[in-house]
Amino acid sequence: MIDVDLTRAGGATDRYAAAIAELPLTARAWRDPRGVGSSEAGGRRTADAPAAPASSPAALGAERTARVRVVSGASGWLERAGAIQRDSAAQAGHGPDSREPGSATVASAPTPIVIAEPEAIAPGGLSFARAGAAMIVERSRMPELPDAARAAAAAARTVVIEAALPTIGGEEWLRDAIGWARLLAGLLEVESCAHAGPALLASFRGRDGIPVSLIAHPTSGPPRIDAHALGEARVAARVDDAGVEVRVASDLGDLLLAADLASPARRALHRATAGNDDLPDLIHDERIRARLDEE
Amino acid sequence: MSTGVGIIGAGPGAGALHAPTTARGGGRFDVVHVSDSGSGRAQGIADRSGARYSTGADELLADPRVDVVVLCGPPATHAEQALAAVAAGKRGVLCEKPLALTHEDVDAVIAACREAGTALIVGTNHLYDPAWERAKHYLVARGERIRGISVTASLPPNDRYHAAVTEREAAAGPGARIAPDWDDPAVASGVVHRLVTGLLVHDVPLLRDLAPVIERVAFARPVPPIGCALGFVASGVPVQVTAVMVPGGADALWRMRIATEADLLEISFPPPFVHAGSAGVEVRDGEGRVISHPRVADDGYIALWRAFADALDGGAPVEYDEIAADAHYAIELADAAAAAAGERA
Repeated sequence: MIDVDLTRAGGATDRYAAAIAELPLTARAWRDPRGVGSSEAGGRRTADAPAAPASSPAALGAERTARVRVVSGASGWLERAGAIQRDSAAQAGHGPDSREPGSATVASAPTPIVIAEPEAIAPGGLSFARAGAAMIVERSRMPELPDAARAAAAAARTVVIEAALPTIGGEEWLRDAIGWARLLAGLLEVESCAHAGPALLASFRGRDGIPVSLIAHPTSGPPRIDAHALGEARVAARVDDAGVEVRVASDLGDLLLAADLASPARRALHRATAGNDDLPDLIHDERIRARLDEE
Repeated sequence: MSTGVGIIGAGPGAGALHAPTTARGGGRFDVVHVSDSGSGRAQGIADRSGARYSTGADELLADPRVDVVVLCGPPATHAEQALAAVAAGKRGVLCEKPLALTHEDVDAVIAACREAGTALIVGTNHLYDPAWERAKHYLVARGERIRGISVTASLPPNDRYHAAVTEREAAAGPGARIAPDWDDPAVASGVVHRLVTGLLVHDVPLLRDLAPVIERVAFARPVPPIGCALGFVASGVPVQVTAVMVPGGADALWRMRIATEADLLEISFPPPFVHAGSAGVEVRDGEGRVISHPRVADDGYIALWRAFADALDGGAPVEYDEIAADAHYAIELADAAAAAAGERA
């Protein structure tokens, strides 16, 4: 069971409240009565603290309840996440992993943070000190790649990305287009970039030097990302406001893969329980995006 | 009365494409002579049509029953053979792409055909696909600026498509495509050049219609085992072209995506060689509506031969200048891409 703190969720509160309701065996809403970032209790949560949930580590003994804080991805999310990390580090005592299990006063492990649909940010800003807190990043345009697609992409000869970027949110869409290139081709290195007015063309090297090409341009219509992995088997992903569709083509034909119908918020909470850390991927995608801006 | 066709070259372009396609013309065309460079394949194609066969081009060009010539040999022979066909007084030339490999040869062929009144057509079947006309009509009607063009092709060996339209003697099949040494700059440059002039050229007339002036090549790189990825800017429009030839697997993909200010238009071309109808056109407009244009029975190859017939009959003018401009664009793009690929290797 995870306790989900929505005090900093902002505009994402309703979505995560709904996600919590859809995870009755896994999650529940939690609010820190001291307020986030407060050091009044000396940074340590005691077993008899007024708001200590029944499933607190002290109450459950050996069972430890994970606590997750949801942070709105609106402007300033970095600062909010930083404040939570500092508070979390302080609560952890001497360091990010400082724990004293079995005692009545439990030094908490750093609190995982879920960033809800983060706005684009300069990569330099992402180098803030990580006090050991895992960061889950909700990116609704980038669900888990289904196994069949992952297998096909692993054998791809080349990857092609096409992105129609909206006027508002274009940076986030471009970041996610880059994210799709990473999903299909692995970590990227920029080879070249050219701008044609507001549009851009870029080439990259991916995993094992696989060629990756990207074209991105503004649109006044609905935004869309088309991501293709080409090879003996092909992957074609289409991302738009309606969701994500992934197809795999092979010698057997063209298969539309079953969609993950869980909400992005619910998926994010699941990843939080699994101990994922999405920050490296976000940093990678943001750095590539910023690099393309500089070229 | 049918028009006598002489086919120079006896590879798949002749045996699996043009020879069987002429049979769909209701007797308008009749293959009367096939020649090759001595491989012996010309006899096999000729025997099916009751045609003559020979080695080299001279005997075919001298054959009085040959009214029009189809050039299906190596690209390096096209310009010379086109000029020879004009000199031999042939009424028409259907030249497989590319028309020529140098700007000078393009100009020479165009000038000769124009002066002689020779009907000339180049085998870039995507240009003649009925879907392209529909797509162009939509774009012109919408009047929006082109924001980006992307061509994506992933092609398995053509054997499976040859098998759908012809039969061949049981013999050693074509060898596996041998991957070039992409680390060698000269090899990388040469293969990219050939891929542009021999494969990507299918879409050059379409690209030139949309973005007529090549400004610069942003990148050009090989895609192993055999393929290339290009990015270039033409008339202010970014163009991305990726083509890879794979050893097997999924059916052929050839798709052109045209983005305007608000719309996304996709043309999905059918596999090569087969007669499975026109390309499909789908538009997602600025309001989010999806419009799918119906496919029609005629494919680009049938439409190409119909256009050739119209040109021969005087029903449609031969657009020499457009043919020349397409050929020059292809050479310019190939040269620039090859240079970029060679520098990168």
